[in-house]
Amino acid sequence: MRSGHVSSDRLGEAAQHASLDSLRGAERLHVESCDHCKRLYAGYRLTDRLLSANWRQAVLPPSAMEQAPIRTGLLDYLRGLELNPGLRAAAPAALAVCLVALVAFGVLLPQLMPLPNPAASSGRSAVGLPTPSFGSSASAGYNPTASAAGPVDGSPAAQQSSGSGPGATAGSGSGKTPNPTATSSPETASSPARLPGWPVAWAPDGAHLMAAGGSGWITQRQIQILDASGRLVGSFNADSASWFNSNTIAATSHGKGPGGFATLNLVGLNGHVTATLAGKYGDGGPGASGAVLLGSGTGLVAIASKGDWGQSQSMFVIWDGQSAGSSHAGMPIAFSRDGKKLAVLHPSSGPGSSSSGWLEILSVPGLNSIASYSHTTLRVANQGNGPGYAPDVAFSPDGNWLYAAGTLVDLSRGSTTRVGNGGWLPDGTLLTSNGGAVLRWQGTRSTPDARFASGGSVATSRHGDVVEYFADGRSPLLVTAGGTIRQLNLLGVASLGDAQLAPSGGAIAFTGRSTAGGKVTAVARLN
Amino acid sequence: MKGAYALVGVQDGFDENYTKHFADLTALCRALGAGSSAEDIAQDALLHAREHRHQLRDESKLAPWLRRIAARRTFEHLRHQRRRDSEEPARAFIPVDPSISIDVSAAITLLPERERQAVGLVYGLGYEQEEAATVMGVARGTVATLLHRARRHLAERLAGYAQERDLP
Repeated sequence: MRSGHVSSDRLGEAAQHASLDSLRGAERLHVESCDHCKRLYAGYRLTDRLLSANWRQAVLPPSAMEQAPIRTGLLDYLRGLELNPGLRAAAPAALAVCLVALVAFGVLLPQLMPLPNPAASSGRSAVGLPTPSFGSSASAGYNPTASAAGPVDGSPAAQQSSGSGPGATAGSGSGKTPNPTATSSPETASSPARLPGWPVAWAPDGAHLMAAGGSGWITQRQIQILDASGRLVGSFNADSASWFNSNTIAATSHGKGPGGFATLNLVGLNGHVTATLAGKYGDGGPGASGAVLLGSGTGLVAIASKGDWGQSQSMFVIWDGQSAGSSHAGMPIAFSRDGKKLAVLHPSSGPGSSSSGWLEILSVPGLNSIASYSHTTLRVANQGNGPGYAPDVAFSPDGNWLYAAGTLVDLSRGSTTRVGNGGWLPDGTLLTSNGGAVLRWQGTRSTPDARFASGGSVATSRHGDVVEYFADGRSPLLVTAGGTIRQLNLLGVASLGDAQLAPSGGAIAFTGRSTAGGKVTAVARLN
Repeated sequence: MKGAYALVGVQDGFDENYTKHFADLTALCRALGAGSSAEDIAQDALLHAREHRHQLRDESKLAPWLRRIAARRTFEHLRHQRRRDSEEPARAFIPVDPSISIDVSAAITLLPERERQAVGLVYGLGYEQEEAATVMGVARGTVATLLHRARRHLAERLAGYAQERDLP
């Protein structure tokens, strides 16, 4: 026993036996009367239960990270030590005494041991040497005007200071080569509004977005509808939701329908249900994931009815808000922009939440096969989060190529090319970055885009706007569809980790780190 | 676009068990903390293995060899990520029990990295301690020590939570 308590190891052994009987008599008596030991024993029991659960890849909700105790200082550390009560009470006082002693030592040391004067030691007189002035030396590199203009922490002040001159073009200070055809404007300042979760789902017109708090698992939770300024417009409870069109959302609630099957609703921007699909979708069984929705944004939704992601028997139907068509095998992963094509993955195998399969392109709404690529095995992993099913898959504007999480598929042949993460521009160019240069892809040929700095990630809008953002704290760059290049000053935001531009290009949703050091998930207009 | 669904890999005859290896390596990379990069790292490891397959003398040791390659690449990735202070949404390989809050499961992510990796391999993937040691490049005894410490750290962290809720 240490500090009068039963040792942690002994409590751990007892927890493994799920009983205090394995402890010696004195130990058992102590545990029964000691709150500290009881707590630790309960902690071991919970730990063992946790470790023996099923493990899987999950998206942690912000609450999980915020609530977790993280020791940030010496006092926190001391609180965590197993000191006896007397020592623990004395620890802060001892710390204070140490600090006073350190300060006193620092003040007295120069008087006790005068430092040699370098001027004197070199034979020159010390008389006439300039007196050090912290005020004057600081003023050389300090621009109070720029600092006052900064919104929160002073870091944007430097951006504003540099932004007032010609160096404010996109290439300034970052080793970039400005595009001679582009015009530049110093800076766009935006005030972000917080969002409940990440990622978000933008409406096709970019006027609204959906965001959901809580865990990323498929479970009944509140999904919020917000405008591009982050104002709450409506909310509803669902397992999963997808944009049906710009004013309507398709939503599913697992096990809420007849016989425990999933319910499929259409929901307006105010969060009210406007239509319900009759029938049974999702298998409704224990542990089933219910139905998965993929909205086209053009007034259609693919409803995949299945037990678990990755099973080969996945089936889906297309619902146009009035009636559902015949079912088809496979998992829908992307609609073309006009809603007339659907990319489908046919899972063939795969453990748990992931699966391999082959790609097929179908016509919509007839679900006739346009092309299939059975020779190309692709792998899809499900890490569901956000408001619903959100595959990172997108057809090119002309529908002849498919971008899928860093892979470009030539739909004329089925060949694939690794391209990095990015998105489509309206002219059919794919813009990507893999941590190095930003590349423009015309088919499978790429060229570096000199307007962007290296080391950033890019987010594109359907309208043609691009934001390049950096995890290292550099200011994001906005390149508008018209060619204007601006630095983005997102007030109170230090760096971006991920970003989604509104399809219209008028707003940006992002997750990153605030200037105060915390995590921030927010949306801001780009006017 | 960083996606919830990753589309990775083209099967080209490297190995008839390609899918099985890919799943195994992806799970390994996740357990080691690769998060959303797990598929990419597994894919890269398989490509590397295909190019250097002549270095494998004993075909029966293909799986451990692949695991070592994938683990090495994951460790490199994690070092690189630490330097870049990546701000990806938090994805983690954690135990999931319907009766236990995800806030509790998230305690796993707060363990020191080596302890988290050992726990993920042994408890999460069911590796023997010897296998985990090979993957991590340490002695079996080190893995045992890491597991012991991880269990103690978790118990200390979860102590208050367990008692407040009067968990059995």
